[in-house]
Amino acid sequence: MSSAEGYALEWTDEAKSQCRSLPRFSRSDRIRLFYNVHEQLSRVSDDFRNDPENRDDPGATEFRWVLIFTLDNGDPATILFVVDDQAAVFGRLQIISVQLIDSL
Amino acid sequence: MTTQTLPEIVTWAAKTAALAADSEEETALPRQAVEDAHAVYRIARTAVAEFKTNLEGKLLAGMEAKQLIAVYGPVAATFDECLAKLRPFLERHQGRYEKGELGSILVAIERDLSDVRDRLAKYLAAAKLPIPPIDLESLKRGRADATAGRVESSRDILERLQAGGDF
Repeated sequence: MSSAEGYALEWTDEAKSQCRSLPRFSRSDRIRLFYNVHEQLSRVSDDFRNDPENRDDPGATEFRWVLIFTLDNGDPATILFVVDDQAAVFGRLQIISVQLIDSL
Repeated sequence: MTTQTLPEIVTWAAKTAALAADSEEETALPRQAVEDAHAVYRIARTAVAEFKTNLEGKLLAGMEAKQLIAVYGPVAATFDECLAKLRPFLERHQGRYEKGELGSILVAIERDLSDVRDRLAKYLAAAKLPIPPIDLESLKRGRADATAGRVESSRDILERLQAGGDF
């Protein structure tokens, strides 16, 4: 599996629940967020995944991926995704948790 | 047109405007110089407008934070460089431009550049926000979901959205 082919993404119930309760996000924002993540996280590079800076510790099974997103009102929002990549070799990434860092 | 060429274009534009201002009147300049300057200004404005359109598309699609900083950090620095060249000149000659004159077009270029620079600054600030401690309770619940198979594929979510459902 290489990132060029695109990973299949799986969302935990917790991750979906977090997305549904993101403050200041409209329904339209949530749907666009899903599409953005679907398009971009599925193509995350191996270099990014293998960069220890993107993990809490080098042996961690999860990496952090931060998306800068544009809300419908035109403001940016910064969202943290915690992603388990143990099954990356089989072409699968699991989104474990989602957290709004801030929106300006 | 790339952002790398913008500083050169804007510098060229500023020099020509300086020439026009120092001559007091555009009519004092050789006609060819004025025509060339107008052409360069058009290119500069188009370059900034195209960049802005492209940028808005990218921002709407969302970008990973580090990538955004890597791609647009240097661009913001380039814009700062342009503005640093333009602003002192425009301040020196403030209020001396008639509509349609080179100087007035340069004022518009400065405004366009400032708008884009401000937009970039907002997104770069968002990308540089420190990551707070991860919500451990949420992480625990997420891991438990993953272990228990309480997951849904993007493909299934996509189908639900296309059928009019929510995320």
